[in-house]
Amino acid sequence: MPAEEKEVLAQLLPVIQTALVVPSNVGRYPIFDGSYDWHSCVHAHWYWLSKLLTHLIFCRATIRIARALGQPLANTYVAGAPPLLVFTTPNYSLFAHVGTVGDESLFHHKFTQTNMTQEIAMLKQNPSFERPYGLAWFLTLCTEVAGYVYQATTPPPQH
Amino acid sequence: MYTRPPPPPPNTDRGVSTRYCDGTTSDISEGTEALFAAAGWEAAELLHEYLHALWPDTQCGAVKDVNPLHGLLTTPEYGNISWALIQLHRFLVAYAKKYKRGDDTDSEEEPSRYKSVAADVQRWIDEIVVGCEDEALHRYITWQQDDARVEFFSVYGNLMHLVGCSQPPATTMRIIAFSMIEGKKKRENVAILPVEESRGYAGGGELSYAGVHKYGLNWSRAWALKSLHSAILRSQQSIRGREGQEEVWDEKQKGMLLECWKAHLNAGLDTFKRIQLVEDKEWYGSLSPIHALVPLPSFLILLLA
Repeated sequence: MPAEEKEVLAQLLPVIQTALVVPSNVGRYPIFDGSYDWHSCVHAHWYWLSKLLTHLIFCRATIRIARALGQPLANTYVAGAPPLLVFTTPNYSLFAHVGTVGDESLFHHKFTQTNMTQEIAMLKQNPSFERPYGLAWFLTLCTEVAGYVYQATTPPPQH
Repeated sequence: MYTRPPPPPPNTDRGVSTRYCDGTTSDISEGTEALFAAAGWEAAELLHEYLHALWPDTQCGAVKDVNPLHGLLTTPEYGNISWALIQLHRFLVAYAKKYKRGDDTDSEEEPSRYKSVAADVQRWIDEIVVGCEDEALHRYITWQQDDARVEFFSVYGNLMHLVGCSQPPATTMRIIAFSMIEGKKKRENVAILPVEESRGYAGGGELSYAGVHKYGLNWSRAWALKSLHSAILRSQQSIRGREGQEEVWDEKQKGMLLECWKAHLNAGLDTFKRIQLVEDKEWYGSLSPIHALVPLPSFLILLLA
Protein backbone atom coordinates (compact mmCIF):
# COMPACT_ATOMS: atom_id res chain seq x y z
CA MET A 1 0.00 0.00 0.00
CA PRO A 2 1.42 3.36 -0.97
CA ALA A 3 2.45 5.57 1.89
CA GLU A 4 -0.11 8.20 0.98
CA GLU A 5 -2.91 5.71 1.11
CA LYS A 6 -1.70 4.41 4.44
CA GLU A 7 -1.74 7.93 5.78
CA VAL A 8 -5.25 8.55 4.54
CA LEU A 9 -6.39 5.25 5.96
CA ALA A 10 -4.79 6.04 9.27
CA GLN A 11 -6.78 9.23 9.40
CA LEU A 12 -9.98 7.62 8.30
CA LEU A 13 -9.87 4.58 10.56
CA PRO A 14 -10.62 6.42 13.79
CA VAL A 15 -13.52 8.12 12.09
CA ILE A 16 -14.88 4.82 10.82
CA GLN A 17 -14.38 3.14 14.19
CA THR A 18 -16.06 6.00 15.94
CA ALA A 19 -18.97 5.74 13.57
CA LEU A 20 -19.28 2.06 14.32
CA VAL A 21 -19.26 2.41 18.07
CA VAL A 22 -21.44 5.49 18.27
CA PRO A 23 -24.80 4.28 19.41
CA SER A 24 -27.51 4.67 16.83
CA ASN A 25 -30.62 6.65 17.41
CA VAL A 26 -32.23 3.66 19.05
CA GLY A 27 -33.05 4.67 22.58
CA ARG A 28 -32.08 8.27 21.99
CA TYR A 29 -35.65 9.42 21.60
CA PRO A 30 -38.63 7.92 23.39
CA ILE A 31 -40.69 7.20 20.28
CA PHE A 32 -39.01 8.24 17.05
CA ASP A 33 -35.75 6.41 17.43
CA GLY A 34 -35.59 3.85 14.66
CA SER A 35 -34.30 5.79 11.69
CA TYR A 36 -31.19 7.65 10.66
CA ASP A 37 -32.73 10.93 11.70
CA TRP A 38 -35.68 12.00 13.79
CA HIS A 39 -37.90 13.38 11.05
CA SER A 40 -37.48 10.22 8.96
CA CYS A 41 -38.72 8.19 11.88
CA VAL A 42 -41.63 10.57 12.37
CA HIS A 43 -42.82 10.31 8.79
CA ALA A 44 -42.28 6.55 8.77
CA HIS A 45 -44.67 6.39 11.73
CA TRP A 46 -47.05 8.76 9.99
CA TYR A 47 -47.05 6.48 6.98
CA TRP A 48 -47.64 3.38 9.08
CA LEU A 49 -50.48 4.96 11.04
CA SER A 50 -52.19 6.51 8.05
CA LYS A 51 -52.09 3.12 6.36
CA LEU A 52 -53.54 1.50 9.44
CA LEU A 53 -56.29 4.06 9.79
CA THR A 54 -57.21 3.81 6.12
CA HIS A 55 -57.61 0.11 6.60
CA LEU A 56 -59.80 0.63 9.65
CA ILE A 57 -62.10 2.96 7.76
CA PHE A 58 -62.30 0.40 5.00
CA CYS A 59 -63.19 -2.35 7.50
CA ARG A 60 -65.93 -0.24 9.02
CA ALA A 61 -67.42 0.49 5.62
CA THR A 62 -67.50 -3.24 4.92
CA ILE A 63 -69.34 -3.88 8.17
CA ARG A 64 -71.90 -1.26 7.25
CA ILE A 65 -72.45 -2.81 3.84
CA ALA A 66 -72.80 -6.27 5.33
CA ARG A 67 -75.44 -5.01 7.73
CA ALA A 68 -77.29 -3.13 5.03
CA LEU A 69 -77.39 -6.26 2.93
CA GLY A 70 -78.41 -8.36 5.90
CA GLN A 71 -75.55 -10.68 5.20
CA PRO A 72 -73.14 -12.24 7.67
CA LEU A 73 -69.86 -10.42 7.49
CA ALA A 74 -68.08 -13.62 6.64
CA ASN A 75 -70.04 -13.78 3.40
CA THR A 76 -69.27 -10.24 2.38
CA TYR A 77 -66.40 -10.61 0.01
CA VAL A 78 -64.44 -7.49 -0.66
CA ALA A 79 -61.40 -7.60 -2.85
CA GLY A 80 -58.28 -6.43 -1.11
CA ALA A 81 -59.42 -7.17 2.40
CA PRO A 82 -58.96 -10.86 3.09
CA PRO A 83 -58.76 -10.39 6.89
CA LEU A 84 -62.38 -9.36 6.86
CA LEU A 85 -63.43 -12.84 5.90
CA VAL A 86 -62.73 -14.06 9.42
CA PHE A 87 -65.01 -11.56 11.13
CA THR A 88 -68.08 -13.10 12.66
CA THR A 89 -69.18 -10.72 15.39
CA PRO A 90 -69.96 -7.02 15.18
CA ASN A 91 -68.03 -5.83 18.22
CA TYR A 92 -64.52 -7.01 17.70
CA SER A 93 -61.21 -5.31 18.04
CA LEU A 94 -60.48 -4.01 14.58
CA PHE A 95 -56.83 -3.70 15.34
CA ALA A 96 -56.58 -7.41 15.98
CA HIS A 97 -57.44 -8.11 12.37
CA VAL A 98 -55.19 -5.77 10.54
CA GLY A 99 -52.00 -7.69 10.88
CA THR A 100 -51.08 -6.84 7.35
CA VAL A 101 -50.77 -3.17 8.11
CA GLY A 102 -49.81 -2.81 11.71
CA ASP A 103 -49.46 -4.16 15.16
CA GLU A 104 -51.79 -2.91 17.83
CA SER A 105 -49.39 -3.72 20.64
CA LEU A 106 -46.64 -1.74 18.92
CA PHE A 107 -48.93 1.27 18.67
CA HIS A 108 -49.93 1.16 22.31
CA HIS A 109 -46.42 0.36 23.43
CA LYS A 110 -44.88 3.33 21.68
CA PHE A 111 -47.52 6.01 21.91
CA THR A 112 -47.95 6.26 25.63
CA GLN A 113 -48.59 9.42 27.60
CA THR A 114 -45.12 9.15 29.15
CA ASN A 115 -43.31 8.69 25.85
CA MET A 116 -45.20 11.48 24.17
CA THR A 117 -44.53 13.82 27.08
CA GLN A 118 -40.83 13.02 26.95
CA GLU A 119 -40.70 13.50 23.20
CA ILE A 120 -42.32 16.92 23.48
CA ALA A 121 -40.11 17.90 26.39
CA MET A 122 -37.10 17.04 24.25
CA LEU A 123 -38.43 19.28 21.48
CA LYS A 124 -38.99 22.14 23.88
CA GLN A 125 -35.54 21.82 25.36
CA ASN A 126 -33.92 21.96 21.94
CA PRO A 127 -35.38 24.96 20.16
CA SER A 128 -33.34 24.48 17.00
CA PHE A 129 -34.00 20.77 16.69
CA GLU A 130 -35.79 19.72 13.49
CA ARG A 131 -37.56 23.05 13.02
CA PRO A 132 -39.52 23.62 11.00
CA TYR A 133 -39.35 20.50 8.82
CA GLY A 134 -39.38 17.64 11.34
CA LEU A 135 -41.76 19.40 13.64
CA ALA A 136 -44.19 19.86 10.74
CA TRP A 137 -44.09 16.12 10.14
CA PHE A 138 -44.81 15.50 13.80
CA LEU A 139 -47.81 17.79 13.50
CA THR A 140 -48.92 15.86 10.42
CA LEU A 141 -48.86 12.62 12.37
CA CYS A 142 -50.84 14.09 15.27
CA THR A 143 -53.45 15.54 12.92
CA GLU A 144 -53.82 12.20 11.19
CA VAL A 145 -54.58 10.25 14.35
CA ALA A 146 -56.61 12.88 16.18
CA GLY A 147 -58.64 13.56 13.05
CA TYR A 148 -59.40 9.91 12.45
CA VAL A 149 -61.61 9.49 15.49
CA TYR A 150 -63.70 12.46 14.40
CA GLN A 151 -64.19 10.93 11.00
CA ALA A 152 -65.08 7.53 12.40
CA THR A 153 -67.46 8.73 15.10
CA THR A 154 -69.41 11.22 13.04
CA PRO A 155 -72.78 9.78 12.08
CA PRO A 156 -73.44 9.53 8.35
CA PRO A 157 -75.75 12.19 6.91
CA GLN A 158 -79.43 11.40 7.24
CA HIS A 159 -81.37 11.66 4.01
CA MET B 1 -61.41 31.08 7.19
CA TYR B 2 -61.63 28.96 10.30
CA THR B 3 -64.64 27.96 12.26
CA ARG B 4 -64.58 28.92 15.88
CA PRO B 5 -63.96 25.80 17.95
CA PRO B 6 -66.21 25.46 20.96
CA PRO B 7 -65.11 23.25 23.83
CA PRO B 8 -65.44 19.52 23.23
CA PRO B 9 -68.82 18.09 24.14
CA PRO B 10 -69.11 16.11 27.36
CA ASN B 11 -68.37 12.49 26.82
CA THR B 12 -69.33 9.79 29.24
CA ASP B 13 -67.21 7.22 27.44
CA ARG B 14 -63.90 9.01 27.92
CA GLY B 15 -61.18 6.58 28.71
CA VAL B 16 -62.82 3.59 27.12
CA SER B 17 -62.94 2.45 23.54
CA THR B 18 -64.63 4.80 21.13
CA ARG B 19 -68.09 3.67 20.13
CA TYR B 20 -68.83 4.41 16.54
CA CYS B 21 -72.10 5.62 15.17
CA ASP B 22 -72.87 2.19 13.78
CA GLY B 23 -72.38 0.52 17.13
CA THR B 24 -68.93 -0.97 16.62
CA THR B 25 -65.95 -0.05 18.73
CA SER B 26 -62.32 0.63 18.09
CA ASP B 27 -59.14 0.40 20.07
CA ILE B 28 -58.31 3.94 19.10
CA SER B 29 -59.90 5.35 22.19
CA GLU B 30 -60.75 8.92 22.95
CA GLY B 31 -57.82 8.81 25.31
CA THR B 32 -55.56 8.12 22.36
CA GLU B 33 -57.21 10.82 20.36
CA ALA B 34 -56.74 13.27 23.21
CA LEU B 35 -53.10 12.29 23.48
CA PHE B 36 -52.46 13.06 19.81
CA ALA B 37 -54.58 16.18 19.86
CA ALA B 38 -52.61 17.51 22.83
CA ALA B 39 -49.32 16.59 21.19
CA GLY B 40 -50.52 18.27 18.02
CA TRP B 41 -51.15 21.46 19.93
CA GLU B 42 -47.69 21.32 21.46
CA ALA B 43 -46.16 20.91 18.01
CA ALA B 44 -48.36 23.63 16.53
CA GLU B 45 -47.37 26.07 19.23
CA LEU B 46 -43.68 25.26 18.85
CA LEU B 47 -43.95 25.85 15.12
CA HIS B 48 -45.94 28.99 15.68
CA GLU B 49 -43.37 30.29 18.10
CA TYR B 50 -40.57 29.44 15.69
CA LEU B 51 -42.18 31.11 12.69
CA HIS B 52 -43.25 34.09 14.73
CA ALA B 53 -39.65 34.74 15.69
CA LEU B 54 -38.50 34.38 12.08
CA TRP B 55 -41.11 36.54 10.46
CA PRO B 56 -39.84 39.87 9.19
CA ASP B 57 -41.39 42.87 10.80
CA THR B 58 -42.82 44.39 7.69
CA GLN B 59 -45.95 44.60 5.67
CA CYS B 60 -45.98 42.63 2.48
CA GLY B 61 -46.30 44.85 -0.52
CA ALA B 62 -44.45 47.71 1.15
CA VAL B 63 -41.17 46.40 -0.12
CA LYS B 64 -40.87 46.54 -3.85
CA ASP B 65 -37.32 45.58 -4.61
CA VAL B 66 -36.34 43.28 -1.83
CA ASN B 67 -38.81 40.83 -0.49
CA PRO B 68 -38.08 40.02 3.15
CA LEU B 69 -40.14 36.87 2.88
CA HIS B 70 -37.88 35.59 0.18
CA GLY B 71 -35.41 34.06 2.60
CA LEU B 72 -38.07 32.10 4.41
CA LEU B 73 -39.10 30.36 1.23
CA THR B 74 -35.86 29.75 -0.59
CA THR B 75 -33.83 28.27 2.21
CA PRO B 76 -32.92 24.60 1.80
CA GLU B 77 -35.66 22.09 2.31
CA TYR B 78 -35.38 21.57 6.04
CA GLY B 79 -35.40 25.30 6.68
CA ASN B 80 -38.03 26.67 4.36
CA ILE B 81 -41.46 27.27 5.75
CA SER B 82 -43.80 26.06 3.00
CA TRP B 83 -44.28 22.57 4.41
CA ALA B 84 -44.73 23.90 7.93
CA LEU B 85 -47.44 26.31 6.81
CA ILE B 86 -49.32 23.58 5.00
CA GLN B 87 -49.32 21.37 8.07
CA LEU B 88 -50.22 24.16 10.47
CA HIS B 89 -53.16 25.06 8.29
CA ARG B 90 -54.24 21.42 8.00
CA PHE B 91 -54.09 20.95 11.76
CA LEU B 92 -56.16 24.06 12.43
CA VAL B 93 -58.79 23.04 9.92
CA ALA B 94 -59.02 19.55 11.45
CA TYR B 95 -59.30 21.08 14.91
CA ALA B 96 -62.00 23.50 13.82
CA LYS B 97 -63.97 20.74 12.10
CA LYS B 98 -63.83 18.50 15.11
CA TYR B 99 -65.28 21.03 17.46
CA LYS B 100 -67.59 22.71 15.00
CA ARG B 101 -70.82 23.50 16.79
CA GLY B 102 -72.84 24.77 13.91
CA ASP B 103 -73.17 28.42 14.84
CA ASP B 104 -70.86 31.30 14.14
CA THR B 105 -71.29 33.37 17.23
CA ASP B 106 -68.19 34.53 19.01
CA SER B 107 -67.63 33.17 22.41
CA GLU B 108 -65.23 33.66 25.25
CA GLU B 109 -64.94 29.92 25.38
CA GLU B 110 -62.79 29.88 22.28
CA PRO B 111 -59.35 28.73 23.23
CA SER B 112 -56.96 31.62 23.08
CA ARG B 113 -54.22 29.49 21.63
CA TYR B 114 -56.38 28.60 18.65
CA LYS B 115 -57.18 32.27 18.12
CA SER B 116 -53.55 33.22 18.32
CA VAL B 117 -52.16 30.53 16.04
CA ALA B 118 -54.99 30.69 13.50
CA ALA B 119 -54.72 34.47 13.23
CA ASP B 120 -51.02 34.32 12.54
CA VAL B 121 -51.27 31.47 10.06
CA GLN B 122 -53.94 33.38 8.19
CA ARG B 123 -51.79 36.49 8.21
CA TRP B 124 -48.73 34.61 7.00
CA ILE B 125 -50.64 32.99 4.16
CA ASP B 126 -51.99 36.43 3.27
CA GLU B 127 -48.58 37.99 3.31
CA ILE B 128 -46.89 35.31 1.28
CA VAL B 129 -49.42 34.52 -1.38
CA VAL B 130 -52.70 36.33 -1.16
CA GLY B 131 -51.72 39.92 -0.60
CA CYS B 132 -48.45 39.86 -2.42
CA GLU B 133 -49.42 38.83 -5.87
CA ASP B 134 -46.66 39.53 -8.31
CA GLU B 135 -44.79 41.90 -6.04
CA ALA B 136 -43.52 39.27 -3.70
CA LEU B 137 -44.16 35.62 -4.21
CA HIS B 138 -44.27 35.28 -7.94
CA ARG B 139 -41.37 37.56 -8.46
CA TYR B 140 -38.98 35.33 -6.58
CA ILE B 141 -40.52 31.88 -6.47
CA THR B 142 -41.57 30.11 -9.62
CA TRP B 143 -42.12 26.61 -10.93
CA GLN B 144 -38.95 26.99 -12.90
CA GLN B 145 -36.89 27.35 -9.76
CA ASP B 146 -37.45 23.68 -9.06
CA ASP B 147 -34.84 23.09 -11.72
CA ALA B 148 -32.20 24.78 -9.64
CA ARG B 149 -32.97 22.86 -6.48
CA VAL B 150 -32.00 19.36 -5.55
CA GLU B 151 -34.65 18.97 -2.91
CA PHE B 152 -37.76 16.90 -2.70
CA PHE B 153 -40.48 19.49 -2.51
CA SER B 154 -41.43 22.04 -5.07
CA VAL B 155 -41.58 25.15 -2.90
CA TYR B 156 -43.79 27.00 -5.33
CA GLY B 157 -45.91 23.88 -5.68
CA ASN B 158 -46.33 23.70 -1.93
CA LEU B 159 -47.46 27.30 -1.79
CA MET B 160 -49.90 26.82 -4.64
CA HIS B 161 -51.27 23.79 -2.84
CA LEU B 162 -51.68 25.94 0.24
CA VAL B 163 -53.60 28.46 -1.84
CA GLY B 164 -55.79 25.78 -3.35
CA CYS B 165 -56.78 24.31 0.00
CA SER B 166 -56.95 27.45 2.12
CA GLN B 167 -58.46 30.16 -0.02
CA PRO B 168 -61.97 30.68 -1.32
CA PRO B 169 -62.36 29.96 -5.05
CA ALA B 170 -62.40 33.61 -6.08
CA THR B 171 -59.10 34.32 -4.33
CA THR B 172 -57.57 31.16 -5.69
CA MET B 173 -58.55 32.10 -9.20
CA ARG B 174 -57.05 35.52 -8.77
CA ILE B 175 -53.79 34.05 -7.57
CA ILE B 176 -53.72 31.57 -10.40
CA ALA B 177 -54.13 34.48 -12.74
CA PHE B 178 -51.29 36.31 -11.10
CA SER B 179 -49.00 33.35 -10.94
CA MET B 180 -48.09 31.05 -13.70
CA ILE B 181 -51.22 30.75 -15.68
CA GLU B 182 -51.79 34.13 -17.16
CA GLY B 183 -52.69 34.17 -20.77
CA LYS B 184 -53.41 31.29 -23.08
CA LYS B 185 -49.80 30.71 -23.93
CA LYS B 186 -48.78 30.42 -20.30
CA ARG B 187 -51.65 28.12 -19.54
CA GLU B 188 -50.48 25.81 -22.26
CA ASN B 189 -46.96 25.97 -20.90
CA VAL B 190 -48.17 24.97 -17.49
CA ALA B 191 -50.16 22.13 -18.95
CA ILE B 192 -46.97 20.74 -20.38
CA LEU B 193 -44.88 21.57 -17.32
CA PRO B 194 -42.15 19.00 -17.71
CA VAL B 195 -41.74 16.38 -15.07
CA GLU B 196 -38.54 16.60 -13.12
CA GLU B 197 -35.72 14.32 -14.10
CA SER B 198 -33.57 12.91 -11.39
CA ARG B 199 -30.61 14.97 -10.37
CA GLY B 200 -28.64 13.06 -7.83
CA TYR B 201 -26.34 14.66 -5.38
CA ALA B 202 -22.64 14.41 -6.06
CA GLY B 203 -21.77 10.74 -6.10
CA GLY B 204 -25.38 9.66 -6.33
CA GLY B 205 -26.70 7.98 -9.42
CA GLU B 206 -30.17 8.18 -10.82
CA LEU B 207 -31.31 5.18 -8.86
CA SER B 208 -29.70 6.22 -5.60
CA TYR B 209 -31.36 7.77 -2.61
CA ALA B 210 -31.47 10.96 -4.60
CA GLY B 211 -34.33 9.38 -6.50
CA VAL B 212 -36.43 10.19 -3.48
CA HIS B 213 -35.95 13.80 -4.35
CA LYS B 214 -37.21 13.23 -7.84
CA TYR B 215 -40.45 11.60 -6.94
CA GLY B 216 -40.95 13.98 -4.03
CA LEU B 217 -40.57 16.93 -6.35
CA ASN B 218 -42.94 15.50 -8.91
CA TRP B 219 -45.50 14.50 -6.34
CA SER B 220 -45.44 17.84 -4.61
CA ARG B 221 -46.03 19.46 -7.99
CA ALA B 222 -48.76 16.93 -8.58
CA TRP B 223 -50.73 17.76 -5.44
CA ALA B 224 -50.37 21.45 -6.21
CA LEU B 225 -51.72 20.98 -9.72
CA LYS B 226 -54.57 18.88 -8.37
CA SER B 227 -55.44 21.52 -5.78
CA LEU B 228 -55.48 24.21 -8.44
CA HIS B 229 -57.53 22.05 -10.77
CA SER B 230 -60.05 21.39 -7.99
CA ALA B 231 -60.22 25.11 -7.26
CA ILE B 232 -60.90 25.86 -10.91
CA LEU B 233 -63.68 23.29 -10.95
CA ARG B 234 -65.20 24.77 -7.80
CA SER B 235 -65.10 28.25 -9.15
CA GLN B 236 -67.74 29.40 -11.56
CA GLN B 237 -65.88 32.60 -12.15
CA SER B 238 -63.61 33.43 -14.97
CA ILE B 239 -60.05 34.43 -14.32
CA ARG B 240 -59.26 38.09 -14.54
CA GLY B 241 -55.72 38.54 -15.69
CA ARG B 242 -53.17 40.99 -14.41
CA GLU B 243 -54.07 43.55 -17.01
CA GLY B 244 -57.75 43.21 -16.37
CA GLN B 245 -58.54 40.97 -19.29
CA GLU B 246 -61.04 38.25 -18.65
CA GLU B 247 -59.96 34.72 -19.32
CA VAL B 248 -62.04 31.64 -19.25
CA TRP B 249 -60.79 28.14 -18.75
CA ASP B 250 -62.41 25.94 -21.32
CA GLU B 251 -62.75 22.20 -20.93
CA LYS B 252 -59.70 21.51 -23.02
CA GLN B 253 -57.52 23.71 -20.85
CA LYS B 254 -58.85 22.18 -17.68
CA GLY B 255 -58.14 18.79 -19.15
CA MET B 256 -54.58 19.79 -19.90
CA LEU B 257 -54.03 20.79 -16.30
CA LEU B 258 -55.38 17.44 -15.20
CA GLU B 259 -53.13 15.64 -17.64
CA CYS B 260 -50.21 17.58 -16.24
CA TRP B 261 -51.14 16.40 -12.77
CA LYS B 262 -51.26 12.79 -13.95
CA ALA B 263 -47.90 13.12 -15.68
CA HIS B 264 -46.24 14.25 -12.48
CA LEU B 265 -47.97 11.59 -10.46
CA ASN B 266 -46.85 8.86 -12.83
CA ALA B 267 -43.33 10.21 -13.04
CA GLY B 268 -43.09 9.95 -9.26
CA LEU B 269 -44.46 6.43 -9.29
CA ASP B 270 -42.02 5.32 -11.97
CA THR B 271 -39.09 6.61 -10.00
CA PHE B 272 -40.36 4.98 -6.89
CA LYS B 273 -40.70 1.59 -8.54
CA ARG B 274 -37.19 1.76 -9.91
CA ILE B 275 -35.82 2.60 -6.49
CA GLN B 276 -37.56 -0.42 -5.08
CA LEU B 277 -35.76 -2.64 -7.56
CA VAL B 278 -32.38 -1.33 -6.56
CA GLU B 279 -32.64 -0.69 -2.88
CA ASP B 280 -35.35 -3.10 -1.86
CA LYS B 281 -34.54 -4.35 1.61
CA GLU B 282 -31.97 -1.74 2.46
CA TRP B 283 -34.20 1.27 2.41
CA TYR B 284 -37.10 1.84 4.73
CA GLY B 285 -38.82 3.59 1.90
CA SER B 286 -39.68 0.12 0.71
CA LEU B 287 -42.77 0.45 2.85
CA SER B 288 -44.54 0.62 -0.44
CA PRO B 289 -47.15 3.34 -0.82
CA ILE B 290 -48.56 1.29 -3.67
CA HIS B 291 -49.66 -1.24 -1.11
CA ALA B 292 -51.41 1.48 0.86
CA LEU B 293 -53.50 2.31 -2.15
CA VAL B 294 -54.79 -1.22 -2.59
CA PRO B 295 -57.86 -0.92 -0.34
CA LEU B 296 -58.79 2.53 -1.58
CA PRO B 297 -60.56 1.62 -4.84
CA SER B 298 -62.60 -0.98 -3.01
CA PHE B 299 -63.38 1.54 -0.33
CA LEU B 300 -64.60 4.06 -2.86
CA ILE B 301 -66.77 1.42 -4.50
CA LEU B 302 -68.26 0.66 -1.11
CA LEU B 303 -69.00 4.29 -0.48
CA LEU B 304 -70.76 4.55 -3.79
CA ALA B 305 -72.71 1.44 -3.03
